[in-house]
Amino acid sequence: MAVIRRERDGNKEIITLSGDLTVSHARAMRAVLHEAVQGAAEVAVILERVTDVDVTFPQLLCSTHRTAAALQKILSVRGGEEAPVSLLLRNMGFQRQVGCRKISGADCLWRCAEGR
Amino acid sequence: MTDADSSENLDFNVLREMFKGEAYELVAELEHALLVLEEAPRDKELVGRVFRALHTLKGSGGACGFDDVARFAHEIEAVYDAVRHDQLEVTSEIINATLAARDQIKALLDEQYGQGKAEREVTDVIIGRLRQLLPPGVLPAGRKPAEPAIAAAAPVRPTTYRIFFRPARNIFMTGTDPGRLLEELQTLGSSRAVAQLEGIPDLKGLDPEQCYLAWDVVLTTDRGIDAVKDVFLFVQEAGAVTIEEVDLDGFMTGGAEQKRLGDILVERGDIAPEEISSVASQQKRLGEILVEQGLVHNDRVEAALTEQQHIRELHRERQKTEALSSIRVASPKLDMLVDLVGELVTVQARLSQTAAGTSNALLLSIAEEVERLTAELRDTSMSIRMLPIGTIFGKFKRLVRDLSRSLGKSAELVLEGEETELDKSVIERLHDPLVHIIRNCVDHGIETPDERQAAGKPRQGTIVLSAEHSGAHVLIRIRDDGRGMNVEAIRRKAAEQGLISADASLADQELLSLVLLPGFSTAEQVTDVSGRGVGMDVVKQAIDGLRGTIEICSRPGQGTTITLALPLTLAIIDGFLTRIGMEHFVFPLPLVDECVELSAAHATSSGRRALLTVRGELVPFIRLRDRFAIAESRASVEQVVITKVDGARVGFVVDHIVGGHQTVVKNLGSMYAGVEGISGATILGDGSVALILDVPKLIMSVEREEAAV
Repeated sequence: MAVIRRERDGNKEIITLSGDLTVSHARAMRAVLHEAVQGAAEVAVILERVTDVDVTFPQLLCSTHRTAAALQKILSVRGGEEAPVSLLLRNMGFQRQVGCRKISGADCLWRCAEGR
Repeated sequence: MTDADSSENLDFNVLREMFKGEAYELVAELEHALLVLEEAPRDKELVGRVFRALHTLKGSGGACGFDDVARFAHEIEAVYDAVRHDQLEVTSEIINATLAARDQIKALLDEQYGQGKAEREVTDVIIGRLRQLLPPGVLPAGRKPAEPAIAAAAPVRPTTYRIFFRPARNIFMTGTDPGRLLEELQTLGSSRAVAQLEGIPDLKGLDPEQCYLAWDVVLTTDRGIDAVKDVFLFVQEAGAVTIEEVDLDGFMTGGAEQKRLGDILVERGDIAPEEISSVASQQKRLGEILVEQGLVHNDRVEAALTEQQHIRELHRERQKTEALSSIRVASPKLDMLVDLVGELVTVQARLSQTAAGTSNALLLSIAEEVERLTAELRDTSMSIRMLPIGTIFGKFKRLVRDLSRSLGKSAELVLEGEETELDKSVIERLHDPLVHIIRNCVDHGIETPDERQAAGKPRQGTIVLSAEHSGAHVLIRIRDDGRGMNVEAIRRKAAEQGLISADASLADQELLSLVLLPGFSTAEQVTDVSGRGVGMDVVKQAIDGLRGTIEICSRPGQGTTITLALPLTLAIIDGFLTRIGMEHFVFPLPLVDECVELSAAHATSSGRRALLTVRGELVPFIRLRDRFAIAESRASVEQVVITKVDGARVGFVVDHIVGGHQTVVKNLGSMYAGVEGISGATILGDGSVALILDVPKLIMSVEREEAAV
């Protein structure tokens, strides 16, 4: 089960995601993220106590990041070092050295420290 | 038959012979993995181990023309494929059927290598059992075992593949997680994946239950392209998969430059060579320029960079493993090497002795140098024959499992010190005695679960099989937490059989040693497993043959521990050299307890038995001069070498004690095979022969003769 918590801090929307961040809950997470990106200047996604995650989740975050960039809004993600998430990002090849063309390379969500 | 045909047959036979060792290792690995999997049925890594063993048996077996093995392995593989894809759970039924299948694969291999005949119908029965275990529709009817021709190409040398995988958009709806497929690729070897994110739309256009991703994977595996294709078998039609071999020529050999990013991009078809040349002169990183100028998509650069990194690490890894690489050598060649080293040790001793008798400084110096080199060569060649004892320990897990089930008991075998090394010839001869001891543990030692519960013990019994080094010996202990041995029953039975007098005063240790005598058994019932009183006798003979000793400790209700002390090697032993007249005799040093002078004041006799008083203890002794009919007159002061065998001390009278001696053991040949009390011979530095005493047999034969009088 995924737990989605929303908080508002002025122009900033804080979304805390916990539990199973998998395809079964992807639709609900997309709805919340879409609404947040439309309604706030800054969106902060916090990951905590993640129990399971599949590739639909980084795909969703990537889409959110592109949407936010197009709207000139800020998206930040914290807690990516949580074991299931970091393992998935590494094993499924999401980590980046050169970043994304749609967004300035340095801001890529998956850009790792060891870039070149 | 043409020359080409016969050369092909020769190659095929060579291939089969080369596969032989690996095949039996795979069968052993399969059994071991299955037994561990039974205890941890959800462990995917173990499922992977089972799958890999079967897959290699299938591929390499097919390549060697063992079609029966390949087809059979393929059937079992289907079951574990279903397990890997969460379509089936590991149950004891699956484990039982697979263990039976493993036995049948071994029988099929034995037949191929001319060591017996396999019953074909057993294969069909097991396949029937396995198919019944598969959920409906899972049987991959379209899958065929690797054709020999393809499997023959299955590389022993690792190959690097470039894989592109774009799953069908609706892949999640079909219940397949593309992540699982990538994980499966990772089990085949070393791999790196790069997710292609270009196709992900913004949130407005995103259906989060669809997959917009694709992956570039670079994989290095020795499993062959078929294994890679197998991963995508069920998703290939709906998605896009391309697999191509990466050309590593010139990049993996020593000194060659590493593969450049531009070369990789050109090879992958991401950019034309001329476009690369035009940007190569700019003083910026190539990847950055290409992305900036929009010549190559950043995801493609990412994939190329990852491939570059993978190859670099592969190169580093290969350099490391080349330094540690091993080769397979036929064991007779090693035996021959050790024999030759033995000869060399003997000749070197003669050289040292001759040199010591001269005042030639140069000769002395050469002799010392040869002595040092010979010692190094001896140690190195002996170490080559050392094998970890775990190579046989693993087999006993299955024995305990099957035996305890057949007896309605529950027992677990715990292995300790499996990495302890022992000479391969010792290991080979240790199998049978260990089987006897472990069977006895399960049959007589471990109680039924109800009995154990009533005694306040866990329902499952534990047998611990451990090995550890102790000086020039390896101690092997077999410890169970069963009912222990009944010392009083042993005393009663021994008295009934006339082995001891009814009122004999014997320590517990001595009473326990009686179970090692031929025909001795306290078991009320003779079972299929044990109780005929032959097991421990066989153990004793085998351990004596290995110049080892046995010690038994037992506590009623708490269990029994049997300790085997074995020499590290049989080829060269630590000996204790003695002389009687002009004849030399060697005692195995570990059996020697102490040496004392024989004085008339301390010697006495009881019946035909000669006894010696050593610090108040009566020790029986045997005159080797009489035993071997040596006519020369005895020394004015004789020496007694007191040995300790199975806890009992027995002395041997000799003229002189020479001292410790590195003894290269030589067989006496079949003509002297019947001579009791001699286990071999060795050649001394002066070229004369010394006999190596088989102390336990010598004692036994004297006792037998005394009893016969």
